[in-house]
Amino acid sequence: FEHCGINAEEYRGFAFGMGVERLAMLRYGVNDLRMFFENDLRFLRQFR
Amino acid sequence: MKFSEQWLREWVNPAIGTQELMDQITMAGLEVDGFESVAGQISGVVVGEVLSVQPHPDADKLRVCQVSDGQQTVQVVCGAPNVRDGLKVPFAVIGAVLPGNFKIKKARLRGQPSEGMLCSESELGLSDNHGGLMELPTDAPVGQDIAEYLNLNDVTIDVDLTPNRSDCLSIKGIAREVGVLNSMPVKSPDIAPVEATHSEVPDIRVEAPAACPRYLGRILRNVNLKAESPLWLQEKLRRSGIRAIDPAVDVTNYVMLELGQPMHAFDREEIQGGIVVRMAVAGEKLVLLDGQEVELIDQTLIIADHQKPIAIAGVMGGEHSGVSGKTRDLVLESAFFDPITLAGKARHYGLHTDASHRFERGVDYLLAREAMERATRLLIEIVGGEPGEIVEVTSSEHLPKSKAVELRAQRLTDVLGLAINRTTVEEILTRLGLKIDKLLKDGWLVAVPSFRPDISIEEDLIEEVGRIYGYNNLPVTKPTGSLGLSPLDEAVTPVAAIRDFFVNRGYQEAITYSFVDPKIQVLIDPEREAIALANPISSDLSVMRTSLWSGLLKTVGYNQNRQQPRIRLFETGLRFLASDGQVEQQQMLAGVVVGQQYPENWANGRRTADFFDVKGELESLFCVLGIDVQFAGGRHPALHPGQTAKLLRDGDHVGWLGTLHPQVQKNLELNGTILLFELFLNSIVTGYVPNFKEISKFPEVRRDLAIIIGSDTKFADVERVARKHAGEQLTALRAFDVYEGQSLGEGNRSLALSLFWQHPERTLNEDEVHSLFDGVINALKEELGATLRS
Repeated sequence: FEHCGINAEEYRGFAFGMGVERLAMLRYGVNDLRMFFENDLRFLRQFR
Repeated sequence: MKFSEQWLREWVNPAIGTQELMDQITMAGLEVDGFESVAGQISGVVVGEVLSVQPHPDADKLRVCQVSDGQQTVQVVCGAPNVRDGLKVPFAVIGAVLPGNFKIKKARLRGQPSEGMLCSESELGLSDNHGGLMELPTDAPVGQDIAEYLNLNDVTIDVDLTPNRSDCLSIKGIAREVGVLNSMPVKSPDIAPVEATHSEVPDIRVEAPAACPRYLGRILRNVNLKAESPLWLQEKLRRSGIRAIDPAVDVTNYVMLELGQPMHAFDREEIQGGIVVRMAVAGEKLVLLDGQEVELIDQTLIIADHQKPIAIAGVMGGEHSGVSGKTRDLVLESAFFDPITLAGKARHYGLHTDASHRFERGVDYLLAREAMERATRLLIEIVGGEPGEIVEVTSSEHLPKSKAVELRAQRLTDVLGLAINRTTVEEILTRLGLKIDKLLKDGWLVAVPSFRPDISIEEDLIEEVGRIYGYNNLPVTKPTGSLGLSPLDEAVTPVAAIRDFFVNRGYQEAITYSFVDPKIQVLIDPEREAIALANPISSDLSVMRTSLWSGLLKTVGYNQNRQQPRIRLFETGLRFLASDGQVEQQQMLAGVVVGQQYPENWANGRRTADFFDVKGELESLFCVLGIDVQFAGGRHPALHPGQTAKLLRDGDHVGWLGTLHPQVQKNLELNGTILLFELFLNSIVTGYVPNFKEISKFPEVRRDLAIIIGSDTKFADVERVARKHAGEQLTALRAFDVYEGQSLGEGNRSLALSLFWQHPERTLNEDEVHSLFDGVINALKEELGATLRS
């Protein structure tokens, strides 16, 4: 916070390094992370 | 870092099992990555004694031995080179099971009966050493179960430490943690100073005190390096993932694992003149212990003698000055090196050692002497030798400064979300070695010990209290806040609704990268220079996109290569423009359509989607958004010149619609008729809020007409002229037919229009309608050269 000019006395927060896609992989059983970036229609179509 | 559970339990032994211990330290922040048995599954192996060895009558390399298992003597045939009378060795009796489910049965080897097997380390699953039998100390009790004798019932635990916990890179550190977590005292080995037996000391000069604020050296004379490190030492090293090599290296590794102080031993004879701790001069060369020759760069801290470098300080020693079989006198080094000076240096030379790992993260700067005494005593026990005095060269002003950090009780409560009582807080801090210097009115002043370089701000102390108290013990509450109603602009359509719109029309949403291939970027937007990345992941992801089309078209190619002929994609995302040295980010909505308009079926035929299909879909979108958008002719370098529409709203440019330019299509190796649109999202999301207009109680009148006009006359002009002359009561104007044919003549087409009128307060009479209708027809004739079609 200090390095970003935010007053740490006033603000507190939670920080997570969590891949959103990885949560989706867990929830929907997707086994390859790259599918989220390829935009293959056969993949996209499964999530209307 | 790997360590043996049994070794840890010599320091602190809580009454909890292995799994519970691992869970406990994981929850304290020392994450257990895995564990494994120090030996495979063994049963039926005992300490055996070879009573006699005879040559095998029918095999040169085999021997027939009489072996005692403590109760009886049996014959065993053995081919190992080191079998001999009186050898104590692990003996697998008949019925024993070795790792890999290998069962020992009665056998005959070249005609001679063999009842059991003498084992090597590798057969017991202890190491890969299968060159000979595992030799046990001469005082090993014959008949004792080998697992018991060697304490094989042990586990190597691997902890994945966060970089701030350099203090846990040793048994001492982990034991300290475990002691705190179980509120138990820790038993550390007695390390009494070793009395010098002579007055020779190494000549030590530190020329880089900031990099090396503390250096200790000691001479150990007349050592016997033919001695072997004792089994217990070798086992402790092995179970911590370190191979035993020779007593000097073994002891320094042992002390590093035990206390956390990396040390080094030099062959005194190979040190010319004395030790100089200095920065390297660029170009100096050094052959390291691993045989690699490196050329030093000048920010490297080295240990040198009066002529040349002999080690990279805190990383790896040189081959030439290292301890070997012929070494007679050792020089032991125990030092504190500045982490910042060492940071990244090992990596520069392609090295990563247990020593560099610790020095880079911060070794306890008060540990050097204790480690030196410990190493000296252990070495003397193994290799003998005459210890000299310890020489210490310390530059106090360069040592890390001791710190005191203030911890406010209220802030502790605020950050953890729980008020912990003061006594508990003080206990936790004290057990961790964070001494309370002073009790303050609203908190504590805490002295940071030398082994916790990671603690420097109040939050670090809060973290210590929190993790020892137990994050699992912090109460679970739901976050609360005050509920206010934020105003929602009714005129604004949320982006989610726009996404739903396209999904409902059979589009899939795509997300493509913001950085694109410069070759594609220049095809899409040749007139604008895209912002280039300073450190791209790869050359085909090296410029920032100025349009979403780059990614969408790449996706079309990807899908066409995978037998997908019908592609309908939309994307919302940012595009990036350079403006006055700043980056301007604009939110765009774009889409691409190729293939049949409808999935192949019996009712709609096989019509390919065309410009007007997509135009219709966009018109529907604008209807949902509540905005008026005009499609005017335009030119775009990536679109087909005759099939490009510039989208305008009240004269402002809000987007593009068109067919992909054939040349660009060819360059991108795509198939079919490819339709593209792109809109400025912010320019279209704000529509109108309805303002009610009275509906008429009176009937509506319809008149149709058909005109012939030039094919290049725009419908927009026809509409403009018609509306201008149709009067205020015109409620609708529609084109319901377009015809182009030979009978009309070259360059002409026919348009059929219907006009609707309705008055709010009365029925329009025939004459009024007629006069307005005539007015429109005449205006179309005069202003646009239209003729009535008969």
